[in-house]
Amino acid sequence: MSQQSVNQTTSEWKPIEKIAFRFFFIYFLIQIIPIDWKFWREFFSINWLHVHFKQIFDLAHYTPKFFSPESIPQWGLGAFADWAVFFIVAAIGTLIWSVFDKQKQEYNNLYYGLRVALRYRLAIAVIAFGFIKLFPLQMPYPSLSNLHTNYGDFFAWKIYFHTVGIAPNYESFLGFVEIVAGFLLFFRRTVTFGAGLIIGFIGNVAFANGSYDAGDLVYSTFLVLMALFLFYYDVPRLFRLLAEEKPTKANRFVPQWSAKWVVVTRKALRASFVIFVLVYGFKTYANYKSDPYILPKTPALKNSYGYYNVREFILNKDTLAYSLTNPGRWQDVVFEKWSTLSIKSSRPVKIDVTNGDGLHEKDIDRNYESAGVAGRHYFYYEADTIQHTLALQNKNLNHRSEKLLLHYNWANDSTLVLKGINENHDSINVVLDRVNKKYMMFEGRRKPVKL
Amino acid sequence: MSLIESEHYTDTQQKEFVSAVTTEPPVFDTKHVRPWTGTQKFAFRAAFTYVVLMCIPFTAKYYTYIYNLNWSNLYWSDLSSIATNVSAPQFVTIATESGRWGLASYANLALTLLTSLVIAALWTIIVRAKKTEREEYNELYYWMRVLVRYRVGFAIVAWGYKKLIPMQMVFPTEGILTTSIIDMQEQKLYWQSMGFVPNYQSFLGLAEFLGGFLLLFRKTTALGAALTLVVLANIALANHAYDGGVHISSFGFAVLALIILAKDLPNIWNLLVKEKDVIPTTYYPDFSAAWKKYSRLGLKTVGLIVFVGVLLYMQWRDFHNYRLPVTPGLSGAKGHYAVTEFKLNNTPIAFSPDDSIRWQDATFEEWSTLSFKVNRKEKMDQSNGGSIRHGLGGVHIDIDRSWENASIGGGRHFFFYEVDSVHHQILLQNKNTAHREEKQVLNYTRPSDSRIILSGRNEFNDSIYVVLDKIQKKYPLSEEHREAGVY
Repeated sequence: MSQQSVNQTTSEWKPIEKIAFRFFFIYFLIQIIPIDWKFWREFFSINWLHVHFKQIFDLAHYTPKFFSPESIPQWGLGAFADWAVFFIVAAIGTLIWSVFDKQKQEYNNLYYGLRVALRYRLAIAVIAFGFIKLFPLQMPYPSLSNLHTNYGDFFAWKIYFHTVGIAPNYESFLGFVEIVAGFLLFFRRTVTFGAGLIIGFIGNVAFANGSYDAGDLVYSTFLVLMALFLFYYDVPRLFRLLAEEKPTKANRFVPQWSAKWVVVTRKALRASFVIFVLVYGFKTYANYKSDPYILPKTPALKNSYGYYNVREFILNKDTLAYSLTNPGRWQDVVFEKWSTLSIKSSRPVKIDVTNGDGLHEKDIDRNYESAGVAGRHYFYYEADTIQHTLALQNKNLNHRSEKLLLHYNWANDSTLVLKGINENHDSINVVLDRVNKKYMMFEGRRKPVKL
Repeated sequence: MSLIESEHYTDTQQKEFVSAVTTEPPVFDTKHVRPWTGTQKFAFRAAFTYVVLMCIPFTAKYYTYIYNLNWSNLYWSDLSSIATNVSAPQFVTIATESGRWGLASYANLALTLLTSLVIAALWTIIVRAKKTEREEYNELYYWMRVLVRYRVGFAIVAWGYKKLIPMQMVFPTEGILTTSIIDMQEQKLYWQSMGFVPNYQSFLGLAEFLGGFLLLFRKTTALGAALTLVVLANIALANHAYDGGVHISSFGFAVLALIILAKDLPNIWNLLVKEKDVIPTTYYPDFSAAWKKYSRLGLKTVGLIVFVGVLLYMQWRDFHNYRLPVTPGLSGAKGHYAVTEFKLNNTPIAFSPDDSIRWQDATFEEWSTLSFKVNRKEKMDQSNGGSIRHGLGGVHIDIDRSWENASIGGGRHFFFYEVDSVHHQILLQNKNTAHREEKQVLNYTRPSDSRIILSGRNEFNDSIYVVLDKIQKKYPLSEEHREAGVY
């Protein structure tokens, strides 16, 4: 049994308000409450004693999917196919509810409950994104291979990610804003500010996601929708105060829940939120410091990091001249700080169309560095420092069968000679010269520079 | 019982208005208004001075510029720069790194603030000494708000238009598409990233425009101020992150937006956070006299027509004539070319990334720019890539349209050329302002659609012979969506 506060106006809602409320109540709750069995399959498959933050993130990213992602387009109106289902279910539900509940005067308590559900759902969603920007995990600094790639060889989304990735302090600031917005939703009196902030921030994200084909178009739009609904609560008041400049009554409804189950639920919800923030925050920080999840972790061949010109290239005894157009002739090679090397040549790349942000244990599967980019072939390698060999395998799933076995030898500090078998079982002999020069990206614009 | 907070009404009046909470807006009764406190008056004096210093241009250059404009042949940037020229007076110029990019660059804003405080203090002392101190500044406050609202409103509308009609950032040129991102400045990457998503650029422009536009109307001022504050604060921070160079301008606008919002913030806070009933009170001068009414409407209408309507039309009309050159290049030549053969003074030079003369590749654009990559350093043009004449208006001649070559390193040299189609010659000049003396005169032949042969005198007076073959390639960036293709 709940009582409403003394100040509560128990005036009847207008019929349109009652119908609209019933619709939105169903429409939102079927998307917030995990009814998709896949959520629970994921939930129970997690070892909660050794949970990775990404697993928490994926749970927080929950939306029910009626259609499998492969069967609907990734962009345009078709991407919102699931919403049509939610709309229809909510419409039917509203019809039934309106018939059975004709006598009801108002839904103040249920409205409050719906707002609580939306506040928590939205807060968890933005905080989940916030921490992986605060600790720049979502958009890491571009790898050396990506830096040595032509601007035109990227998909739009990858350029967008790299543009943020080159400014990690700015990315942290963006994450901080998301976290603040989440906290503003947590406290009842600041919900409108949090919702307003999210409409602007995530509204921008949603539009960018659509324009750059970055993914998550539907999800970010859903977050904006929830924020709009929450913001709407104070719109009549703000309109009266600011546009009409008339005396305005403040919100009167403050629930006075006395039922035990409500008190317990309230405490449990609040505690869970705090625990979520602390645990998730700690885990994202730890991951950022020790093993950023989308970057490989196996260390590179000692002292190999850098950008190399291919000075000599011999294929089956033929010396191939430097060429921009010969697909068999390597142009340059980059060794990363981890055990990836990438080769630039005109050999075409069947591009990796994924986002490369999956959680993978093995380095060869951590494909963020090669997702959404052409121009180079990316190889995971295993170095045998005793035999002096490098065993390479192409990271791109479309080229996974490509394997090379090369013997390496340091002619001097900056010259690496590779001899062995390439992906076509031809023998190659390659001389790599590490290049030491200054680059515009790092020189900046504050002092004159010659490049 | 609900509490009513209002700074402008006496206690008696507040009691009277308890019952009026749901009725008509109160008529602002100047005879019974509660006087302002000493702090409020001082704060107003400082804010008023600050706004005047920021919003009224004090440089003669601004007025002579307007006077000298050719009003029958206006270019969009003329009108735009009249609107956007809102800045602190140039008290000092600190030519250090911090003075351009860091903390010291805020010197003029800080000095303006300091001057405002000093003047406010003097003002306070003088009126108190002469015993002429007013009880309130409601009327002056109104006019201050008019000044700052329209100044900021028109300025941000003009800023917004530059993206709304997507001309501030342009689709990557061939020269940029074939440059590694390591050879580009951070600011370049940031700006260029908006160039291939024109809808998104328009969306950002719309958000900016809306912030400014809503400031021009009383009923939407608070919303416009909040939007402007958030958008411009973000721009200021991003400019710090990427060394964009316009952080002072954006920060200045954000502060002015906050000053506009300050009037409504206490009421919003009381209403939403403290959940108290609020009676808003705003003073409006009496515009009922016919001449007053029509002057006000007339001026406002003219202002809106010129700075909102005409400016938009001009930007739409002059679309394209801004960042990119317009002189047409060799027809159909646009693309990326491999250098199949290169002879220097009749001696062939093999392709090598180390050679300082031998071109590694070349690009042609739709307009008359040729670029080639070579292992020879240039003094970098680190500007934003607009026209080289800064300040009001700016001049736009193709060789100075440096967006495509500013902040691009890695050995790509950019040459503007003029075509002599009678003699089949192109006359080239280096676009880089530090190397303008480099000129080439090359004869061109086009044996096929994809081959161009250039021969003639290069920038060092040597004779060169260059065979260029077009590389037929699709760029992933040019795809509208992620196509699962082969690149």
